[in-house]
Amino acid sequence: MKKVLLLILTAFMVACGHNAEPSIELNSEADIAGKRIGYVSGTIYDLLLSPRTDISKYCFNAQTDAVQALVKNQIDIAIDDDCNIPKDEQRRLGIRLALHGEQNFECAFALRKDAEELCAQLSHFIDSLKANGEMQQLYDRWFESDYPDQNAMPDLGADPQGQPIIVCLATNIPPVSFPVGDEWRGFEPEILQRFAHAIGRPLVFLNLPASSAIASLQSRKSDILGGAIFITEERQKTMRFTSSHFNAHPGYFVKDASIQSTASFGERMKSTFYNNLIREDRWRYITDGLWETVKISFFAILLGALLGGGICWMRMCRRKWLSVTAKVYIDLMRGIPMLVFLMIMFYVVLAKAGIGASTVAIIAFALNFAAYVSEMFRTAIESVGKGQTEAGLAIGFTPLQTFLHIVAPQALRNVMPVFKGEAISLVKNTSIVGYIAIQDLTRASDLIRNRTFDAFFPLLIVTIIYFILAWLLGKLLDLTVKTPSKK
Amino acid sequence: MITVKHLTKQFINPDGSVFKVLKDVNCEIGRGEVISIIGPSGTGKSTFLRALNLLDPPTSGEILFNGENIMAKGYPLNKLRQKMGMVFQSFNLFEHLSILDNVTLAPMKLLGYTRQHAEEEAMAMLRKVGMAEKSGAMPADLSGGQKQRVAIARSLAMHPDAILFDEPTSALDPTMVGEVLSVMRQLATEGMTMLIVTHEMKFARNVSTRIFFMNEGVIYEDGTPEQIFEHPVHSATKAFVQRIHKLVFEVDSPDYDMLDVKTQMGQFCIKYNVAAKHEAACRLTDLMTATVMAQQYPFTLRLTHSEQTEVTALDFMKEHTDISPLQTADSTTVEQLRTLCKEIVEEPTTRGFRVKFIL
Repeated sequence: MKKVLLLILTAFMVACGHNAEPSIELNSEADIAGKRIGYVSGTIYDLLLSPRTDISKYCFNAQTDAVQALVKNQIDIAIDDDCNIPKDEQRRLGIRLALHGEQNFECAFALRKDAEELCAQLSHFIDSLKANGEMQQLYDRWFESDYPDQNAMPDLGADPQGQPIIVCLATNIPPVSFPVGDEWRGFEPEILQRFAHAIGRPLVFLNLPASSAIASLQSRKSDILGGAIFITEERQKTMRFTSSHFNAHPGYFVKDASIQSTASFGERMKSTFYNNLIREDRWRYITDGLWETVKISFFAILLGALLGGGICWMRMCRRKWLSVTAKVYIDLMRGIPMLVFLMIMFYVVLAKAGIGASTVAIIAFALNFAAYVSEMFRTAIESVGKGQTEAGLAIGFTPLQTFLHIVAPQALRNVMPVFKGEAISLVKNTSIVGYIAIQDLTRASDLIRNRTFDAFFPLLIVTIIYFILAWLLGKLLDLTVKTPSKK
Repeated sequence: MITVKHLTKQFINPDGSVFKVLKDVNCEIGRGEVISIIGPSGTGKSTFLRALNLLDPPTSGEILFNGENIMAKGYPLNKLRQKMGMVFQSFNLFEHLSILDNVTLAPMKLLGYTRQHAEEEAMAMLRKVGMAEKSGAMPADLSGGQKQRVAIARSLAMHPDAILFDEPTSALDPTMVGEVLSVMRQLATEGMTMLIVTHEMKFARNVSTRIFFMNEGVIYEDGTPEQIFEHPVHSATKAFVQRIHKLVFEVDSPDYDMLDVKTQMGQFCIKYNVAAKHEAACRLTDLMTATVMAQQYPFTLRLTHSEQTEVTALDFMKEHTDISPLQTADSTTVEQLRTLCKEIVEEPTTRGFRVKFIL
C-alpha cells in the first residue's frame, strides 16, 4: 500500500514538472542536434526537419499541443514561426524564443489555380499597401505590440453587399489571425478586410483546423487561404499565391527556467478560469459549441434511427435484391472510418450541394448510425419469439398490426440497452466535426486552447459537459421505453 | 360451419425431396361440435389445425367457413381469424403486456371497444377461467397452467365462433393439466365449437362429441368417442387407442438369430413392466420354431402389448395361407403350447393366417 502511494506521489510530482534543469542555450541551428524537437504536422517544418537524422522528432496536430509538450518537458524545443507565440503568452507559459532560424519564409495568401482575377486584385492591393508604407504600419501595430490581442480592428463602415469572399485562416493565434467571438482579428484579417472593402465584396470567415484548411480551398468551400502560409515550390504547383505580405522565420522556443510563477494556487486557478472562460467572452465558444453538438447529435440520432428502421426492413425483406442492397450498405458503412466518411461527404459527395456543414454532419452521422442500429433492430426483432407473431395473427391482427402492437414494443425493449450505448457513442463521435468547419464542443475547447495554451482546463470543461450530455441522453432514452410495472 | 375438401400440404426438403404432411383431408364440422384430433405424432394433426386458419397455408384443397372459401384470393383473412380463436401449446401470451392488457388488446384494437368496455369484459372472461385475481400480473409471473387459462380468456374475448386448441396441455407439468382441461370442459358444455389436438385420451373420450383419428396425413377414422375407443374399425386406430406396442421380426430361415430375438423380447417386457411374461414368450418361441413353424419359413413373429387392456400377446403369422399352422401339428405339441399361455387364438387375416398366444 505504501509503495503504491509513493508511486502515485512520484508520478504526480513528475507530472507537475518541477525539475530544475537549466534552460537550453541555442547559438545556431546546429545546436539542436540530439534534442527532442516538436513541430506541427503539415507545416513547413515537416520539410525543414526531414533531412535531419540527429534529432528526435515529435509531430503534433496543433501548435498548442506542441507548446504544452514543451511546458511539460516532453520535448526540449518547439519550432514554430517566430511570430506565432505572442510575447505575453511566452512569459505566462515560462518559455522563450531562444533562436531565430536563418530561413526567410515569404508569407502570402493562397488561392485556387483558376482564381486568376481575384488573385491579381489581391496582389495588386498588397503591392500598393507596401508601396505607400501602410503595410509596415500594419505590421508594426500587430507584430510589435506586447498585447496584440487587445488591438481593435479598423472601422471601415458598413459591410459591402455582393458575392462574399470566403476566407479560411489556418492560424488562430495573435498576431497573425485569431477569432474573438464571431469576429476574426489580426494582421491578416485586417489586410483582407481592407481589401474586401476596396473591391466592394463582403468577407466571410470559415473556421477550420489547419489540417482541413487546404482541402477547403481545393473543394471550393473557401476562396482565400491565409494564416501565415509560406510560399513553397510544392504548393505553387497546386495553388496560386499572391504577392508576399510579410516574412517569417523559424522560431526555436525553449523552456525558460528563469521564469517561475510566484502566484499561489488560488490565484493560478482564478487566472486560469478567467483566461479560459471570461476573457473575450470565451465561454461563448463553449455554449455555442454545446448547442452545435446537441443539434447534430439529436437530429443524427433521430434521422439515423428512422433510416435504420427502413434499412432493417429492407434487410429482413423477402425480396432478395432489397436485402442484399441493405447488407451491402451496412457492410460498407461499418467498414469506413467515421472521420474519413465525414470528410468524403463534406469535401466530395456534398461539396457542391450547397448545404451547410452542420447539415452535412447530421446526414453523415445519420447514415453511419443507421447502418449500426439497423442490425440492432434486426437482432431485437428476431429475438421476439415466433409464437408472439403467430398469436397476433391468429387473434386477427394484420401482419402490420401484429408488428406494431406486439413485436415492436418487445423489440424496442430488447434493443434499448445497446441502442443507448450506440447513441451515446454517436454524441462522443461528433467531436470530429471540427474537421469540416463546425465549431462544436471539442472545437470550442481547441479554440480556447489555441489562445490560452492551456491544455488542461478547457479539456476538463468539455469532458464534464460530454459526460453530462451522455448521462442525460441515457435518461431520456430510458423514458421513451416505459418498463413494465410489476405488481 | 367448416367444410374441408381434399386438403393437402407438402414441404420441400432442403435436398429437394417432397414431404407430404397432409395427403387428402376431408371433413365437415358443425356448430357446437367438440372435436378431438388424436393420432400418433408426426401425422399432421397440428398442421391440419394450423391450416384451418391459414397460419400454415395448405398446398391445395378447399376450406369453406360458413360457406365461403377462405383460400380464395382477397378473402379477409384477419376477419376470419377474429372469428376463429387459437390456443397454442406454448401459450404465446404477449410478454410485454399485463394479463388484463393481453385480453383487452385485440377487442380494443380490432373490435373498437372502449377501454372500459374491454376491461369489463376481460375481467368477466378472466373470472371464468379463474384468473381475475392475477389481472395485474405479467405473463412471466404465471405458471404454465395459469398462462394457458389466460390464453383461453384472450381467445374468448374476441367472441369467436370456434376455437382451435393446438395441444393445449402438452407443455404443462402433469399437475397443471387438470386446471386447463376443466376450463375447456366448461367451454364445451357451454356449446363452444372446439377443435382440439390432444394426447389426453380420457379427456378426448369424455368431452368430445366426435373424434378424428389422424394417421399418415389423412383422417383415418372419424366417429363418436364410443366408436373410436370401443369399436375402432381400423387396426391402426385400435393400436393407437389401446396404446399397443409392437416388436416384429421377419423370420426367413432356420438360421435366423433367435438369441437376439429373445434378448429383444426381454427388453420389451421390461420396458412395459411385464418381465414375468418373458420366459413364457421364449419357451413358446423355441417350441414353435422347433415344431409347428419348422416348415413354414418365412413367417412373421410379433410380440405386442396393450397398455390400455394390459394384454401381452405373441403372434406367429404366415402369409398366403388360410389354414392354421397348428392343424398340422401333433396333439402333444399343442397341449404343451397350451400350458405355456392363457389362450390360443387362431384367426385368418387379410394377408394370411395368424396364431395368437395370449400370455
